[in-house]
Amino acid sequence: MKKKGNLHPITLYFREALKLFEELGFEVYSSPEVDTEWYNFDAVNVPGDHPSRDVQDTFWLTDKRVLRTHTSNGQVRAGKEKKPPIRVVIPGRCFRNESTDARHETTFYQLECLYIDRDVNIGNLFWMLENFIKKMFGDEIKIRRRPHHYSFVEPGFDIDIWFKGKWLEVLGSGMVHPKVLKNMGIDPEKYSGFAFGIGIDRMVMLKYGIDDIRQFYSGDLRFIKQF
Amino acid sequence: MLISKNWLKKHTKFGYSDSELADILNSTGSEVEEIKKVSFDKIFVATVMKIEKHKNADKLKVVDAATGGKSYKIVCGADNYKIGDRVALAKVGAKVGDFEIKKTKIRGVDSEGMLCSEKELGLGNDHAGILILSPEEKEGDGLNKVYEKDTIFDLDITPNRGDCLSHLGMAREISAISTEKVMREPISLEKSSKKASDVIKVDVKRDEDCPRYFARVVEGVSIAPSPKWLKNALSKMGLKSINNVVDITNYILYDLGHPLHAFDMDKINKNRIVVRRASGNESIISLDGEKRSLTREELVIADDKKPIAIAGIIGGENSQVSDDTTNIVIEGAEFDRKVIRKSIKNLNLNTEASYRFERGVDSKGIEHAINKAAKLISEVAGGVILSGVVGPHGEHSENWLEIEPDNIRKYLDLEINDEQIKSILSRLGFSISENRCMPPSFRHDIEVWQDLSEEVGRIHGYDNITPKPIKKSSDKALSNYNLFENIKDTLVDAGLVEVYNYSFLSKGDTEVFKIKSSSLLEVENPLQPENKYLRNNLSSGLLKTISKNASFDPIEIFEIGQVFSKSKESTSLAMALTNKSEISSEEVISLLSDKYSFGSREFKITELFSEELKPYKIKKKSVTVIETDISKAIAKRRFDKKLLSYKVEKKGKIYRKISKYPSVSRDIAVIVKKNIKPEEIEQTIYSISDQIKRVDCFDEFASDKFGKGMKNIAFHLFFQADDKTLLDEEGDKIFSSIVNKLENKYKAKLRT
Repeated sequence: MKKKGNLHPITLYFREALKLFEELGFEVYSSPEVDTEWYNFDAVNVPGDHPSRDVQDTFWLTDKRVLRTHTSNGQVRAGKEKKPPIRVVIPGRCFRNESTDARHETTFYQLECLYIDRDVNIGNLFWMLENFIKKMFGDEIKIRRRPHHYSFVEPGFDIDIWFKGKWLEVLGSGMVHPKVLKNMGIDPEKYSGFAFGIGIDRMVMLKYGIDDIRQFYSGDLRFIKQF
Repeated sequence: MLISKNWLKKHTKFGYSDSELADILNSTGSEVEEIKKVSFDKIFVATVMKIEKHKNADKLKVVDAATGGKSYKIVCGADNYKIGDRVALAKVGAKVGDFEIKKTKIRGVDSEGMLCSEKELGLGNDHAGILILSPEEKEGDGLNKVYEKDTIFDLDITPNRGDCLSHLGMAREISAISTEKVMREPISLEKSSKKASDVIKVDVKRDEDCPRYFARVVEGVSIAPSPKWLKNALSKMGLKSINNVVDITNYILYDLGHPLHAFDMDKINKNRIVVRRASGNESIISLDGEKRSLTREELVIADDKKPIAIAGIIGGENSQVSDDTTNIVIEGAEFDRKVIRKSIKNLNLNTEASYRFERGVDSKGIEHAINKAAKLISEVAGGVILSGVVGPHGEHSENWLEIEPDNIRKYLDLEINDEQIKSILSRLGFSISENRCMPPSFRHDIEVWQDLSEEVGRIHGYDNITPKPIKKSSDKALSNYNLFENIKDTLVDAGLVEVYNYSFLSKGDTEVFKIKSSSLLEVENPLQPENKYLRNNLSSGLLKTISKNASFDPIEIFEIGQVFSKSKESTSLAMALTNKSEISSEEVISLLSDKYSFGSREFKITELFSEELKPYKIKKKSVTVIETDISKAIAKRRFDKKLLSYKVEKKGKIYRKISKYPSVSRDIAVIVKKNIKPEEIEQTIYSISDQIKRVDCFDEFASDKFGKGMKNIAFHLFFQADDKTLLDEEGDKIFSSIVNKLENKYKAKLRT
């Protein structure tokens, strides 16, 4: 019998991660990699005249659109298309205009999770996050919730895990900002929600001990054939 | 941003250890990126007595450094010192950064310690040479007498919290947790009877651009080097000392977060300060020596004739405080954040000042900042403070907000009563009146009750919130994503390998692949100018992958990814097979057509032969590439539920690092029992050494001529070390241990 081929390690990781969401009734939603400035930034409360815009180095197209800097560009798209309760996960390729080295890439993957319903609160967010992290890193993993600012959420959090003797940031999260809900056409007085985003490349690197992020896009078969 | 623990204590009392303080900072949202201890045990003030060349190294010196009545021979790489200089000598046993100083031999010469740079001591960023101390320092003193012990925290302050960009700001955060008050001494100034408004006029053209401007005048200052306390404070912030007056304005920036600027008053034409937009054809030489052209969007501080500073960003050379300055104007102002942001972009210049103005300053704190600066300047540089502050002080708007405690409790999922909520807000500086509150003047990020819930949550502590399950939904929502993953499984089962290629194409690619570049989307600011197009197909990426993997044969690969044209973005599937592939293009297509009922016309098939492959640097007889617009192919079809699922692998895989050193390759052919799987033998071989990086089965043939129930199986082997080039002999050694292992484990017979 012919030997089987291989899936890319990022594909493998997404499948493992998405399993949990699928069990909870989340749908995989796709948002475009080339998007308007509005969906990528303004819709998620990152206005052009605010320094929060500078956190992400952006590739601009000559037609004034952008290569999405995060999968959050799908938040308002999904929110406009669907009615609460909304349960979506958005896996996908993102881009940042920054010099590459072993830890930085122009190209990387994110997984976004968005949940909007009546009475969603921070306890729900923490439950979802812990569930997810324990699934990916095991039940014994130590987790730290650290307040952080992301324009599209309020309040916002970074989640750290205790990994090899130090705290390591693994994801950004928070309660969907009322302005973002309004942009979806959803009344923030009636509904609330949470969202979080995970950088997948770094997770895969931790899982396998890969020390150079550029390997993922190198096309090097010595690399991919190991998975 | 750097914060000194000692400096913080000037603003609020606390007894926290370094790690307790770090926990508090992290828990309130100011992420601690690094903690640097500044300590000088076993480091002494020494005098340079003799400097000689190192006998074996041109770039090194051998220095005799005297301290405590003894002389030490030190090998040193720097050369910014002379005989008689006072320097910092770390003796054997001292800890400098993470290193412990040991007695060593450097290129054949003994070295009994180290002469330290500012950076090595944690006193600043200067690493160009060693630290030269003031000649007043006493030889033999411990450096602990010269510099105080401290801990420096490097914090990541998010863009919404401009108010945290100072020691006062961080003290306010700590005080909300510790409940110790922030200390604010009233500043009493000794002023002359002469009025500032008699010597200087301030004219703000548009209030929106500059809602407040405070100018204070100090006459008769003597510009000189700063005193030690001031130099030390700035060097902890990584800043070089300039002179006593400029240093005080910088000190206030790190102390209170308010950027101030000092002008030489005698260089201001007609003693008139005008805050206005640049005229459009003006320019200014800024303090960094650059000539900067200004547009009408730039706000400037001008005198009667010309710009003398770019408002909120940088001062001008034409009005700078220099050694012969005697009269100064200290400016404290608030500029429109959006105007500043625009100019930062226009000028491509971001300074400590503009960084803070862009994030918003404390409109009610400006006068305090300018008074503190005036007081400190009169202390370190002498002079007389004129009475009065000149300029429009602006109105303060009152933005009251409903607290909505019920919403906050529900949102946070916390049992916390109204009084607790109000107490937290008031510790954070909010004014409270019944069920309403007003954010303090330094906070620009509070607009809605959700913002208040964050304040309550982070101060009360998010660890107090118990996770609560979400409502599950029973309907399984299946999407195209599931179908694409199912297709991937089908292709992997057929032996293909999934690759991810970049979404960019270069000019060269478009030529090789004969793509009309005018049809492509173009990146305006590509990282490498050559990679400016977005891919409109995946096949070209697959050909590049083949060319990069010359050592593999056959190659059977695929990719599913987004491709772009000017009018649309779609999902494409592409496959590439080299001539020795075990599966033909027809077989792949019929596999997909049968399973997913794709029409064979939906595939674009291209066969390229060796001549055509040359431009791609592929040395194979032929390559077949197949590509299809898969989003179009599935658009109007409904798929069976079982095609909307994919496998999730449980088994963990072990990853072996790809070494950048050349590999040693060998082939091995053995005769083993027919039922032993190639994968099993591969795993066995891998387990022998980390240096075995690749085991590719290239031949498997069962025949009774090898013995009953036996087969011949052959592998390409690649050995590589992670840290060096592997020698042939080392390759032989690995090879023979593989032979031994296979003989022992499978009774394998080596074929030679």
